Amino acid sequence: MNRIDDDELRQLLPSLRRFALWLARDPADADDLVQACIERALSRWSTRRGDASLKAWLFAILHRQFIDQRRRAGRWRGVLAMLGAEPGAAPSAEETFVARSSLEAFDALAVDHRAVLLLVVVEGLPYQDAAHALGVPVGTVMSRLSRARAAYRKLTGDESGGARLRRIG
Amino acid sequence: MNDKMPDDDTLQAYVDGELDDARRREVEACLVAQPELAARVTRWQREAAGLRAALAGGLSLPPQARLDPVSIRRTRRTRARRRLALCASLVLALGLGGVGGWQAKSARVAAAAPPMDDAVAAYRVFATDRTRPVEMDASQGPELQAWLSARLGRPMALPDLQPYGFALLGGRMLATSDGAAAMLVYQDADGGRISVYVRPSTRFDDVRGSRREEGLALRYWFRDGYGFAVVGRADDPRTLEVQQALPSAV
Repeated sequence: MNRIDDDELRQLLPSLRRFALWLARDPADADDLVQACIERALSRWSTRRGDASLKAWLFAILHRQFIDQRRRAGRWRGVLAMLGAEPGAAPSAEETFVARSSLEAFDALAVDHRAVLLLVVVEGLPYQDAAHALGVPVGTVMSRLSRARAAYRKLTGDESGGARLRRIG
Repeated sequence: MNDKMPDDDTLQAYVDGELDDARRREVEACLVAQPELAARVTRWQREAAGLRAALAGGLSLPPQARLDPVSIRRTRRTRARRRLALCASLVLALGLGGVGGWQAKSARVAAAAPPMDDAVAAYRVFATDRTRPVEMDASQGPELQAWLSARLGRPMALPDLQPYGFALLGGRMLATSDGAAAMLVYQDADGGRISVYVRPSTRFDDVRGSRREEGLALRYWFRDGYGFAVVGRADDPRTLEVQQALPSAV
């Protein structure tokens, strides 16, 4: 506990990279996130409290960094908008989407929904650990998970009656 | 619980493996009793498995050496050393800057011109000139006033010093580092001269003062971003009288 185990970290790398990729949606950005996350983990190791698993702790650091980055990017877009520039990264307001595969459907989900599904369904984190990683109460994890599943089902056409659904936004 | 149908939260927790043994058995009993519910849970489980397969298998990220903990540790150590070196150099620079700055400060204090020194210099160079002390003489009174006001950027009254025995000789413009300065030169019957000097200033603080140097008496004051000065001979008692009367008159 007084020194982080490199092997343990290495084993978690694929999960961290996957989580980062589905958050950032860009391989280079994702790996930057992972690198920053591990750097922070190594420097913060001594301050880590033992109430969450290593995996949840690392996911929490990564998620926190993603949120901070997005906030900075949002501020920057605000500045650009104020200066009258065209914000390049803004998604088009009326983007229609037809899901053809589960991956595409997953990609079309809101980032919060992607995050909670990845942590709980794919990574198999207990609700408590997912709550720690996302920085929200357990109740929020459960309700968000339920909404994320509903959105995913809509996109894949399950439980909706229709085969394929259009998504606006 | 056995009688009740489990709610969606409970079913979801069941699918995610969040229920303890007792609760899990309760849900499973319900599922046996209600095939419709069982079908729904099976669909959810299939969905979760599909998601796991799609996401876990659909990722082929090339290995990245820079993400390896060993490499990140090494980078951190190098950066820490560099930061330490930078801190050391900063401390050194601050130390040198402190010493150098202190010396520079004392040198600057010694070299700094006393307030309105330019008024004294202008008096020495121009007001003592016997042939051409002014650019525009007093016979062009209104024009002189307009000219000085325009160049100075502020209305410039031509103080009347006749009560003290001084007649206006005229005025001239001078260049200072603070902007254009106007100097009015007055002369008494014996050829004694006194000057009234105005120029812009960065000071707005109503500071005033006086001093004597090499036979001249200076009184100055700052007001509304302008500096004013009256310079005359120190051995002439009227200089002091004018100096005392003028600040309220200009």
